[in-house]
Amino acid sequence: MDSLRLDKLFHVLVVLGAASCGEDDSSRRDQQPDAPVSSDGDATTGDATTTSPDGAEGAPCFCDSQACCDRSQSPPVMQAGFTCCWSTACD
Amino acid sequence: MVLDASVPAPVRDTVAAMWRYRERVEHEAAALFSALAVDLDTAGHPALAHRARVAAEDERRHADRCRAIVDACGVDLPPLTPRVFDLGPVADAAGRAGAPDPGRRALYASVAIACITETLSCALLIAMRDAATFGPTRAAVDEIIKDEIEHSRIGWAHLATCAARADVSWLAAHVAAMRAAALTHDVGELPTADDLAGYGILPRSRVTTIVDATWRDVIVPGLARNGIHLAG
Repeated sequence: MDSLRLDKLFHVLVVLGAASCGEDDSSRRDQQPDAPVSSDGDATTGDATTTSPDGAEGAPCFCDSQACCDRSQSPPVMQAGFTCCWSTACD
Repeated sequence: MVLDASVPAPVRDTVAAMWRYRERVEHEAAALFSALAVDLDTAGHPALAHRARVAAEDERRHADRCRAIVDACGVDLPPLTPRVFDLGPVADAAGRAGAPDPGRRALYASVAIACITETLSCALLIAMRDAATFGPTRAAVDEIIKDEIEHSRIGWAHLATCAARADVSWLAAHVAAMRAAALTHDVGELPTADDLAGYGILPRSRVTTIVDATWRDVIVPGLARNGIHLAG
């Protein structure tokens, strides 16, 4: 399975990296990963439990594709109510 | 967990060599982040300096993870001696040779280490995680990638901070050298194999594809976003 999504990796690293200017370590490490994304691709404020581009509003976010994907199905599909982070995907 | 006794010796040797190589890369990265932290403090970026010091600690822990995989292979391979890298432009802001401006040296290092090398590392680690089945390998990759995401972000954060305050286009002239160094030291020397993906060793063709695509779709646009436009 190839889960590398470079468009998401760009957002996770470049956009969220820029948004992390001035934050200390405790607020920036991905305990709550991936800020929601505005239409122009820039990170908005807020945590990962608000609307995300990949999941339903209020969806929790997991950074391990194993947790966000239902692999009992072929092809694997995203678990209902979850988003995948760090440029991963279930397809 | 150790490799099953039925695993052939050539496979053990290859897997152990790969993770010993990565062990050295992690120690080298620790030294680079430690040096970057000093320059970031000197350049007036205490928050970023703190993040760089934490990153150095992460890299040392990653090296321990890599050594554990070497040990799990049951192969006697002592650690490789880390190489010493001196990063940074050799001229100051006025183009005079000599000790580089600390701010410029820090930014150069951030782009080279974090924006380029760590970004490439993230992409390769995601691909490795997809394929890894050997327990210690999967555990190591899971741990390392969580930290590498932050390590790459340090560079993009630093670059965005500096780009918001001043013209950083001078970096464009140095990007080719940064790319060459990353591809030579961190990618070109990476052990590869066509049939050992379960142990975290990707085929060379896959590595090349990932590196080229990440450069084209993440790094180049990321640099351009901050005013660094590459020729061609």
